[in-house]
Parts: sequence; structure tokens; C-alpha cells
Amino acid sequence: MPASLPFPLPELERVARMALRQCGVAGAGIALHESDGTRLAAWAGARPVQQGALAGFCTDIALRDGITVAEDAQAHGFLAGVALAAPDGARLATLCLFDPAPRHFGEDERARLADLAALAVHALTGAAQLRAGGERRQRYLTQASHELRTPLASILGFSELLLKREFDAAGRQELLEIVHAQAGRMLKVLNGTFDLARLEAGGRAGLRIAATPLDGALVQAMGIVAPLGQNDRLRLELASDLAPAAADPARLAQALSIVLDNALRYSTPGTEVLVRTWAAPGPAIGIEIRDAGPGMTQEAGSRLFESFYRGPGALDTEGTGLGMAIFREIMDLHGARVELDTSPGTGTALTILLPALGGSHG
Amino acid sequence: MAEPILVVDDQRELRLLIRLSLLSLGRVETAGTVAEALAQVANDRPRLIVLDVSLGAESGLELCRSLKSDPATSGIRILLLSAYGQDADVAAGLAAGADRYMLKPFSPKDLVAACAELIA
Repeated sequence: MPASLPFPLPELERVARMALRQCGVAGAGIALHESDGTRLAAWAGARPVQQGALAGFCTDIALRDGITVAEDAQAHGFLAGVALAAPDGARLATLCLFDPAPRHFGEDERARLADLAALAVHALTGAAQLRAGGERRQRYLTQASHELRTPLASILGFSELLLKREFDAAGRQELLEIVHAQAGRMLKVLNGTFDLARLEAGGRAGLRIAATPLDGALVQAMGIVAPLGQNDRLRLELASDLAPAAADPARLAQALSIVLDNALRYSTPGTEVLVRTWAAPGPAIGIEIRDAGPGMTQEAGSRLFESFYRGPGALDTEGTGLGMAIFREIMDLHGARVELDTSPGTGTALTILLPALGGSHG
Repeated sequence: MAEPILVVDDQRELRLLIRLSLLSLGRVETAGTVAEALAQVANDRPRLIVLDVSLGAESGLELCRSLKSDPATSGIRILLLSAYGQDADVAAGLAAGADRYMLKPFSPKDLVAACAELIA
């Protein structure tokens, strides 16, 4: 267990006290396995005289499954323990019992210890998730603040210059245009930030799931990206026998428009962007959007869905870096699977497997 | 001609803003990438660099560190500009050898004052 993991001490001390009472032993607690050894971190009742023996016992059983009992551990009396494993199998700690005298450990006591182990795992993993969530939010806020401060620097700076200095008409016009454009950029970042927050807070319950014909959502998405003036580059290969998607029509159209916008904006001008759909098992609807653009490195691809990430080629000030994060959130809330296939020079293909309404064809 | 002030920022608007702000202090050159900045430093050694901490995919912090660790360029004063204002970011900037750290957004008046102080 990494030492930096938050340790929910009060919860684990409660588990230790419960173990002490429910299993009728002299001492109970939780041992943490850290890089420099095993440490009794939450303890209730008597501690063994030789704590090293208990630590050794906990280390020995850390990789075992189920409960290990030493009813008569020679000089150490009675020892029992169970490794606390995260859902992914990682060993977090060991819940252990101690009694100075050898004793029998019956089925009832084993069952109680197993229940308490589950409780302790819950406390440990819950704390880890809470911390990871807190860190993610902190990173997001730092980044959001950065994205807002940058256009604000232009707005405040240029307006101060305009107020204090004389410029000719053309210079004045140029600076005012920058101020206006940067204010628009701030608005985009704010809108995207709030949209993402609304999606995250609302969860799936925030969606208006209905039988949504994919073609309709696609037409709507094409309407959203029409201002780019590039829709003639889209080549549509649409299956005619698709079941309707189980989707929020407006959110689905928004998600598709984000991918189309990226594909049209960042691929080589004049090249085709393929949009293909098919009926997939599940039932699901397969959607592929493939461009003949410069493609992405593995690093850029792996960061594509991060908030505020903008690829090395995205130096224009149009994008906010939030589009693909919003896309990903919408897809996740729909239970859709998303796969990215890209490498430098080969273009980029995004495949979506979107749950369809079972049986009913629309 | 006196040594120029070099402005390094990946955003065109910010380069313009800083250049306009600092014109009262003398000649101002600009660069948008690390490569451009290094070329400027080699050709026309500046007395002060106003350097953005993050230059798109490149790091202004890294550029600051390498200029300050090279005896040939360590004498150039560097004012780091950043839209990251956490204490840790400021500390990282100063640890990279920056003479001054300013947060975006900034008042052009304050920037001029800070730069004037650094090249005095």
C-alpha cells in the first residue's frame, strides 16, 4: 500500500473495535504494508508483546485469499488474519486478531471476520476514490483558471492600453477586435466548463433517453457544424436497417457534432471524412468517423479526452480543449464504447458502439 | 543600438500586448516558440526576456532553466509570466532561476514597472 494513500483512521479503528468485540479476542487491528515494512495502523485492545511476530504474520498472509488462522502460534498465542484486497486485487492492508492464549476459531467467528474485512476494504477504497476525485477536481480547476486567465490577460491589458494611450483609428480597431474575440473565447470556455459540470452532476438521470433514430441525430450534428462550410467533405455510408439508439437526442447530436467538427477542422483540407454506421451485436449501433488528417501520436491520442487538452497542431484559438471531454462524458453516460484508432500519418478513426433499443426497428 | 527586450509567448495577442506595453523601455523583439527564442538570443542578445511559462506543447520554464544554467546567457534577466498562480508554480518559476514571476492577467503599467526595475 503506497504511503501516500489517505488512511481513513476513524473508520478502521471502528472496524478494529468491532472485530475485538464480535470475535471475542484480546486485540484486533489493521496492519498496513508499506515500503519500509508492516505497521499496525489502527488497533483496539491488547497488543502482543512481540509486535514483530504479528507484523510478520500479517506480511506472510498478505497475498493469501480468505482467512488464515494460527490457533496456537507457539509463543505468540492465537493469531488470525485476512488480507484486505481492492476490487482489482491489489492488497491494501491486513485485518488481524490476536489473543495471548491459544483458542479455537469457529465458523461464526470466521463469518464475522469476513464481514468486517469487507467493511474495512470499503473504507480503504472509498477513501482512495475520494482522494482521486479531489485531485482530479483540483487539476480541473487549475486548468480552468488558466484557460480563463489567458484571454482575460488580453481583455484587461488591451483595454488598459486603449484607455491610457492614443491610437490611430486602425490601431484602435485592431485592439478592440482582439478584446472582443478574447471575451468570446472566455465565454466559450465558461460554457464548456458549465456544460461538462452539468453532465457530470446530472449523471445518466440528467439525460432524456428516448428512441432516437441515428440518422436524425447525424443530420442535426451536421447542422451544428455547417458554419464551418465543410460539410461537402463528409461521405456518408449509413446502414438503412438500424434500430433506434437509446439516447438523449440533443446530447447525441452534440456529441457527434464535436467529433465531426474535430475531424473537419484538423484533417487535411479537401480530404474526405467518412461517416459509416452499422448494426452491431448488443444490440448496438456502430458509428465510425474516419478522417485522412495528420493522425495523432500515441501520447496525443491517450490525452485526447482530457479536459483542456489541445493537440500540438491545435494552435488556433478556436478550440477550448473541452469538446472531446464533453463527448467522452456524453458517451459514458449513454453506456457507449469508444475506440480511437490513430497514428501519425494514417489519419484518425473514432468508433462508437452506442446501445440501441432492443428489438424494435425504427 | 541597445540590447532589446525579448517577449516569448505562444499567443499572438499576448505578444502584441506585451510589446506595445514595453515600447517605452526601448526596442522589443518577439518569439512564439522556443526555437525562435533561442535564435533571437543567439543573434541579438536581449537584456531582458519576458517569458510565458507554457508555450503550447513547449515549456517556458525549461527554457528559463537552460538559459540561466548556461554561463553565456545566465546574465540575461528573465521575467516569467504565467496564468498558473499556485504557490507551487511560483516556486517552480523562481527555482528555474527567474528573476521575477508575474501572473496573468497583469496590468501593463505593472509589467512596465517590473521590467524597468529588472533592467535598471
